Amino acid sequence: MKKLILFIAVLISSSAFAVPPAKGGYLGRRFIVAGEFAYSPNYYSLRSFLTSYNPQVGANVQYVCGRYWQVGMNYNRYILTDVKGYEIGNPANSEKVMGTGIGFTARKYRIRKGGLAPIGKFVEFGITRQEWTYEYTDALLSYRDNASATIITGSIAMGVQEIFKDRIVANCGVRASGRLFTTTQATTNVDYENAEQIISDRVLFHNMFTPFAGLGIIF
Amino acid sequence: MLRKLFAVWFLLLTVSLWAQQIPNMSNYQPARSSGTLPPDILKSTTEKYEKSKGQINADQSDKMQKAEDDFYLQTNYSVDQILHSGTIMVGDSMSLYVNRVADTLLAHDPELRSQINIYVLRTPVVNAFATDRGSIFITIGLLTRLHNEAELAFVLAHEIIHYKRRHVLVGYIEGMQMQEGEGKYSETTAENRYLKKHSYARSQETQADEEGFDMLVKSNYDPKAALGAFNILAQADFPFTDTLFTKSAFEGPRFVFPSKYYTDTIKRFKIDDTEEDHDLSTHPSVPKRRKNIKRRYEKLQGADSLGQRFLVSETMFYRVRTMAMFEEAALHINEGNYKDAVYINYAIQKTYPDNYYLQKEMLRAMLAITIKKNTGFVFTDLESLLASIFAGDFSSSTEEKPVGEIGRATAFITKTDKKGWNIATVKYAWKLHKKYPEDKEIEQWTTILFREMTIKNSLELNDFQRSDSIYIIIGKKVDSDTAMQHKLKKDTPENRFQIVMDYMKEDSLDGYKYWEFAFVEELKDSTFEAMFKASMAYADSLEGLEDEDLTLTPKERKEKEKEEYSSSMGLKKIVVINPTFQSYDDRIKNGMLDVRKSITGKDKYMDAMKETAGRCGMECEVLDPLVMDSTDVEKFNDMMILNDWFTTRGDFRDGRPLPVHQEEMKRIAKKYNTNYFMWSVYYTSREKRSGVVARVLSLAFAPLAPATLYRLFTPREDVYFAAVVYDITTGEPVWAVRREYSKQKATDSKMKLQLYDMMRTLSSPKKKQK
Repeated sequence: MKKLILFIAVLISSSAFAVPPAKGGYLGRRFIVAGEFAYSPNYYSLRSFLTSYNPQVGANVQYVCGRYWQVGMNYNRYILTDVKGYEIGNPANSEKVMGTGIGFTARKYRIRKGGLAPIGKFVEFGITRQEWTYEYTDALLSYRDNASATIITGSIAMGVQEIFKDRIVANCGVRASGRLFTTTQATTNVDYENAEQIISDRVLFHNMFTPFAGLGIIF
Repeated sequence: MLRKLFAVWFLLLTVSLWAQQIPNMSNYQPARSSGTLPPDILKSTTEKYEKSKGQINADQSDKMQKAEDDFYLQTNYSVDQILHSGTIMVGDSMSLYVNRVADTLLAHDPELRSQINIYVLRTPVVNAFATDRGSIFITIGLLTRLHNEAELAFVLAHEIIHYKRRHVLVGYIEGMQMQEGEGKYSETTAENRYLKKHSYARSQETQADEEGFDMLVKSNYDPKAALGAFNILAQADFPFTDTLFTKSAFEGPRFVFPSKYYTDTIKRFKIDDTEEDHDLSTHPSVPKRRKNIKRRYEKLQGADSLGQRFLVSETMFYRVRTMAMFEEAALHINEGNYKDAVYINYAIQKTYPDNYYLQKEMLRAMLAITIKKNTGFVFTDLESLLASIFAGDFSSSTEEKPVGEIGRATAFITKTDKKGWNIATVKYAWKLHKKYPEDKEIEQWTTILFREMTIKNSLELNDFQRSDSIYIIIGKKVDSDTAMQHKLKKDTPENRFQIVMDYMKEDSLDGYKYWEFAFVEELKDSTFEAMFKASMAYADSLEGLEDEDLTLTPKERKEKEKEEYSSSMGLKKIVVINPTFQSYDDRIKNGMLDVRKSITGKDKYMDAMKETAGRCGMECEVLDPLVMDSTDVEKFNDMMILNDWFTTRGDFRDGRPLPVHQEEMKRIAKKYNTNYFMWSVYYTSREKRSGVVARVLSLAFAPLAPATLYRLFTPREDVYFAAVVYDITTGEPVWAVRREYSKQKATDSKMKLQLYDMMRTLSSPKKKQK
């Protein structure tokens, strides 16, 4: 993976300085390093939907590569605390699921809305490799459940990005994603029935609707 | 002997007076600025505003101070908009003369004189107005109507009093108080407030009249001139001349327009002599003002012998007035009033029949009408109506009688069929081309007119008669008609065809159109025939191309245009003319324009243009007084010429010929070392968001609450950006962009990004044609 990232970085940076004037970007082709905060509602009930959220933080490196295009890599971590609610006594419903994701995004600025990379309204397409892990320790009964899986998700986001003071980049929007396929089946060591399915569903719901906001710097 | 001497003296006097009143204009060149540009034009609006702010009385209430502050900001911005737009000139003969009259008028008050700058505004409209910072504007239209220098002095004196008494500021404060129902406007209805405000404005006008009259008397000008000035005002809506219009100027021995095109009876201009003031008028009625000043005049002792009509120079006055008339002839073309331009030229040519400048401007106006007629979407009733309301165009609909000779002329032009008019214009152009063979513009316009005739009117050489043998037929025709014989006896043989045709109420006779004999004389000249044939060959060469274009669907044509106007250009240099940046905010109380943002925004806009062009390796020169220095008078002139060109350009469809001075454009292109000139606008707007209730309710959808909250407390912002690049040597647009950022913040970064994208596209090497 490291080699791949390095290769891509060298590839795009060499093209960035080769042909002035650059074909797009904010006064030329540029890099953006940004942090992102996102959250997804808890789908258990209407009340939980309105009041409880699963937070997600991430960082990304974006490259403005064309008049309307921006590509990037992102890394994020999330914690799911929501309750799916098949069985009240099943810890798979309520215990924390920790996840990490690493992926690629391609963002198209919408010309019809006046967009030009990296400012304006955009549509973003992404593909992410997610790993989630679940662990439950019952001290009283002295047993320990755990599970993990690796999945590939595809996402689509809509949002708007702006630059302030020639340097600060801010964006916000809404992202929706879904599982494309599972690369590694959930490895489980759980006593409770349907625990793998429950946890998988929790991850799926988390990805379904995610408002996000980011802040970064353009170089 | 004594009688003879007296007769000689009288003759010489008459000749000299005539010579003074009709100056020699044979080598007239269009008026241009000269000398150095004054600080009033070059200083930034912010600097002027800061200076004006010093006048605010700190003892007033905060509210009044704020109102005054707003006033200074707005007035300085508005005045600079005029000064920077290429509608005024400095250092030209007209401006110098007008300022010299002001010097004479204020010889007793040098301090007041030093505060005042007088500018001549390039418009045919009759007007003069003062601003609070001492800039007084007097229009070319007004100069054409003056009878003597003292009348000009009275107009200036009136405006100077407006400045001296700070009427503009006081009027602004009154308006504000009226709007808010304060002071004398409290405890009354909205309607009464308006009436009071206008009544107050009228009292200011009366004060300016009376004190202006006193100033006139004091400066030793003839006080009677004030009464003459009111006569001009009463006729402000009429043209400066009512010379009889006949269609013969557009005809030839064998080319006579059917008389149905010519209106025999017209209405005469009628001066409104009502003394009653209109309740909602800011000015008292002119008869009332005149009566008031007449009363003061009659109280003066020995009024008839007081003062002089000319103190600066009588010769100069007549020259300046004639210059103004010549300029007005061209201004009508700039403003798109081509029919008025034809009449004004026609009328002045009665005094200056062989004037090169006037003949060229006449041809330009006639060419414009030809192109418009051949394009086929002008001279509708709506156009005539709007023109008559807004542009002083007196053309009237066919049902109503035209007003004045100008009305007769415009009605004639409107009624003539496009073939006939095109032919008349070709005849006129050919005459000028033969007279001035070295003039490239006349040659170019003649070529355009031939092409209009062959392409747009499908006329060929065979459509015209080479001899006038048809008259034999006419002779036979009238043998049995005694009434016709009677008519024919009165006229010359050349007009027989026309007389018979009119008698029959037709525009053709025995299958011969009225224009078929138009070129009998011209066709004897082989160069005329050669030009005609060349034009026909050109029309043939276009046939295939036109067909190809016609095969495109509207969508395909749009795509083609989009590709043509947005592809890379490979430019090394571009000149940007008067870039416009304006910021609007509907939350601002006194008008929607956010002046502060508009001022700073324009500076940023111009800087960003240069910066982004530089990053793309392209030179960008901005022609705007804000980036000029005092020695840049030539650039100031070029900006004016280019803006005139752009206005005319905008009145014609792309791909159609233009009635513009193309040689002048070539000179400018050579001077700036590029053919590519850009006009651009950048607008931002802020307004209250609608649907607040829905937004409050949508807060219930908690996941999107942050975005909803943001929108609840911030205004909606939109950005509009457009630019068009012309190759000024061909007159065609070569590149254009238009972008709208709806509901997005108007940031400096967004502006830079737009400009960078534009400059990059313009500077990138041209793609090879597929």
